[in-house]
Amino acid sequence: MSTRSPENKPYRALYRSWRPQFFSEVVGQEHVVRTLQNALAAGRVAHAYLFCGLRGTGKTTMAKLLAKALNCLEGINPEPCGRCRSCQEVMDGRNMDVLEIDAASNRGIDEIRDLRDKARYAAAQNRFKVYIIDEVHMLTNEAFNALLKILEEPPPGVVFILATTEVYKLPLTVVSRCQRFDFHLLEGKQVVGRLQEVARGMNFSVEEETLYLLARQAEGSMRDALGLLEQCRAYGGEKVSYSEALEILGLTAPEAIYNLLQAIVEGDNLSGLAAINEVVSKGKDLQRFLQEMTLYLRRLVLLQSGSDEEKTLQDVPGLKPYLLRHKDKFNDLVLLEMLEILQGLSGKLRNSSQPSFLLELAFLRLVRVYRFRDYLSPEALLSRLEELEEKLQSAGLEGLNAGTGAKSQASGKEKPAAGPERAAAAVDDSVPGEILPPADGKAPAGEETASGLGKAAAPEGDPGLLEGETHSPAGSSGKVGFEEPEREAEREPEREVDLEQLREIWHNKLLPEIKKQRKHNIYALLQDGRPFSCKKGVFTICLPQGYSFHKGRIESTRNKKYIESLLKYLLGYAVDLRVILQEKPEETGNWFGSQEENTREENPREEITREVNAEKSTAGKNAQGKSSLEESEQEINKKEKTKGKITNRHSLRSGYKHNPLNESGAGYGAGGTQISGDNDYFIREMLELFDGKLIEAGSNELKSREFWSFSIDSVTEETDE
Amino acid sequence: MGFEEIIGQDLIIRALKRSLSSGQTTHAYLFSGPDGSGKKSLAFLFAQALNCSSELDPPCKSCLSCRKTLSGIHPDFYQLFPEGASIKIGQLRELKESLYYFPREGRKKVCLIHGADLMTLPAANSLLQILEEPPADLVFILLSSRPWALLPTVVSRSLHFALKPLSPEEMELLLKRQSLLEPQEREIVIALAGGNPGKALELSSKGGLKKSLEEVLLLLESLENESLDNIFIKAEELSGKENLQEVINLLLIIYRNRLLFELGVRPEIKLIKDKLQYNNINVEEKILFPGGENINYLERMCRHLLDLQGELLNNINKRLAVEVLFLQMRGAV
Repeated sequence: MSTRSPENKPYRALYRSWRPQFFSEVVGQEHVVRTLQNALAAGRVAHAYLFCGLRGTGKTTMAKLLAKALNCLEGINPEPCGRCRSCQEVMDGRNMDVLEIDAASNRGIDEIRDLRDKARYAAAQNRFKVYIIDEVHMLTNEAFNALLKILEEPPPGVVFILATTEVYKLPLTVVSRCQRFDFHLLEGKQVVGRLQEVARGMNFSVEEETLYLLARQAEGSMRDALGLLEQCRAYGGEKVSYSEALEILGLTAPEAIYNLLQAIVEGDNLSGLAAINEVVSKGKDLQRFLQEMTLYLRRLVLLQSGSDEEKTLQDVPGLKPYLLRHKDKFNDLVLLEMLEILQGLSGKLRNSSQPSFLLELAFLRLVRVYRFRDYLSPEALLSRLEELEEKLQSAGLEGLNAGTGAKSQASGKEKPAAGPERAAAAVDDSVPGEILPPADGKAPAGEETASGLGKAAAPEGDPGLLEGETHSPAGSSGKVGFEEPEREAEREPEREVDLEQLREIWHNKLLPEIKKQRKHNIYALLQDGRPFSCKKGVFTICLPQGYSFHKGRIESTRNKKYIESLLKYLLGYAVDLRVILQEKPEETGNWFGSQEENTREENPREEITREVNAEKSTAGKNAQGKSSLEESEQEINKKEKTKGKITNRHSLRSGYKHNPLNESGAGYGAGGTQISGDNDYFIREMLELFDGKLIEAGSNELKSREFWSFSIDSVTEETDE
Repeated sequence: MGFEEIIGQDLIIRALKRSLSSGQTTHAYLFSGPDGSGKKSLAFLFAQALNCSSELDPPCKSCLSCRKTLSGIHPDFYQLFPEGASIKIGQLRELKESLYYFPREGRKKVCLIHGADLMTLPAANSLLQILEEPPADLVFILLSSRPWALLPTVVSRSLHFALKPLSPEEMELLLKRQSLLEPQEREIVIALAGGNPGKALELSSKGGLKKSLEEVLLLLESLENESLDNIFIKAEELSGKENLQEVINLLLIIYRNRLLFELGVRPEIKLIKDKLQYNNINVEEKILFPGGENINYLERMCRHLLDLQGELLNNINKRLAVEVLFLQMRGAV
């Protein structure tokens, strides 16, 4: 069909020289072509048409074709002849009776008045006088209204064709007076077909895969696609290869995207950063890279949601092998989360002077999101929790009934979480001890978590190490290595601070300082505790009975480090932090209700310190809290000797042993009901926190991250052994 | 020296040259890239080449036509600048009238539109028709630093060349050619400019970067040891300085290096090594081994600094912002 040769004319852009001259050449828009051709064949031509659709879908082309067909000297046929004088004139744009009006330049009422006046005269040489009003959405309101009358009942022999990309800007009165045709975006296949035709016509050799790439970039617009083809030809001359085309369009090779995502899947920071570095050092436009990545993830979403593989991948043949390899690695939630992050990034990228930094940070965040992919939905987390709870309950855990009295005091979000968490932490403590049932009950759960979190879980299950591990697989190991000896050196093992001084520091310095620094979470953890001793470089804090959750949180690496640094600042030398639990409840059930109680309970402690100093003399007046504290003190002594965490737990465990066995019968029932009540509250709180907003930018992130470390740590801490 | 004076845009130049030599230049071009990426230089070279009277390797930059174009007095060379904050439809109407005549001296009429994204909506729309089917011999060159703000209908009518950011190697080449910076300072410039040649040249002509870096390092050190009161004094001091933006940028680079190091990447910026010898204090340790700062902290700091960078462009209370930043650096917020 394409008989024209562009060579003998001055060079024209491809989209102009290859504008279809016959209805049969039009690609896509079958619904429009068929309707128009039928109307032409039947001789029933409307007096006003409205063509709307996005850029490059063929509106102007169709308008010109229609004008040609209407005025063809061979009569009104479904196809213009293309040879007669009139057809030629339309093609060259010099037909007197086909008037192309640029409504964007002539948008006022005066221009329309002028048009209206002239439209009354009959066509000069042809059957019809055709007004093609392009960009009609730019007419002013008055101009539209001036047009209404003539648009409704034009003089005989006048046909209006309005074309616009933004039909919603037209008054409804105009739209209703026209026959409206909506032009659709072209499918990749259609664009590629046309591009092949054009390329062949120009003797330009290009692979189909490359054409698909162009079509994809053109997003369904034929003019864009032809423009890109022209760009390729300007660069390549006779032929262009796929990789050259990528380069011309400023796109990155699919491998780069694959590599980056693979790094995310494997949690491999190094290779991910290397992939980014590669993209940057090639001088790629990161905005485009981001678009490509978004597109890639979008396809993955489509594949995930079970859409037809063949259809989804047909216009991305280059990506297909990569996509298929990644198909099962992501779940839909993590994909959506990742897409959201990328979306937020693209806005920032535009205004940033160091876009590569932004990309790197986003990458780190993506890695984190991916690592927690199984916990992104509240349901998943909930069912996981429920599962754990069941196991805990069926294990008949004795720690559950503890700490009912103290609950009302805890503040902040830890409070509702305290029930199950406390139980969980208790299990943690019990593990290496003699009491086997809890450990047994928990073993399968541990396995599951280990597989779920992948590398995140540390093998030894030391909570400190674990936290480092979850946040920084690459960096932490080295860090831990060179920090330890340093701390050892600074310590002053001989110093001992008496209790009075300790309490002074605790109440008047440490707690206010923490509050001042707005570490409310840590304040909440500590406020019910009290200093117990400080000697041999170990600062011991005593928490009320049943505060094992608080204990666990305080002992997490970050919090511990923070408190230790504060203590170092206040005491003037470095100390290690230890936390012990009071074994038996106070008879008032109130640990630190008032000053009065404070003073009262000083007695037992002084007693105990004295006791311990005298190497376990037995002078206890206050049998109440003593035995347990003594246990704890013993534990510390033992620990100093062996420096092992296991023994620590071990002895704590033995402390436990008296307690629950003594009162298990009575306490257990009460503990059970307490849990279920607590549970609801906990779950509600959790849902609120989750509510799809886990990983957010900016200040919220802090909160959510804290939440993360709190929830994930505690889940892994207690299961990974 | 014609197109060769532009570094790093080899693809675009190759395409332009080929279309020039084969006489297949199309009627509308769009050059896009951030401010300082070299759009204007490229556009001027291309405009010169279109009318250059030398047969070989246009533009020669020495013939009458080239010189006229460069100084903007060529009768066939039209330029359109934003009037105030935008390009108005009246300006375009006026321009279009003259565009329909044949070229007077040259082969082509060239119309260069600066800041094309600043065209008002009516103006952009009124350009559409002539942009799609201009009279023969008319070439449009649109320049835009925000191509996404252009009407898609405008973009689709023109051949879009996006200038790419320069890779570090290309930047080095550029700086070596253009100025006499010391190698260390060059590294800082490259890191700060982020692939933007215009910015790099601006920075290098301003100079004094090494001194700034030293100051920033000292600041970092003092921040870690100062008491809280002194921090606020420092914040006030810094927020009054003219080079606040630069300090923030340098801080960002330092924190990024720390972060990368914590993640196990050897920082590629060699300035740290050189600096070490230069300044005689243990700077490397300060930058690389900040003492167990964890990755989350560093990442957060990078994010804060990036945010602050953007905020500083808007009219914010600088003192407050710097105070908050310092507190963030101490991990208190």
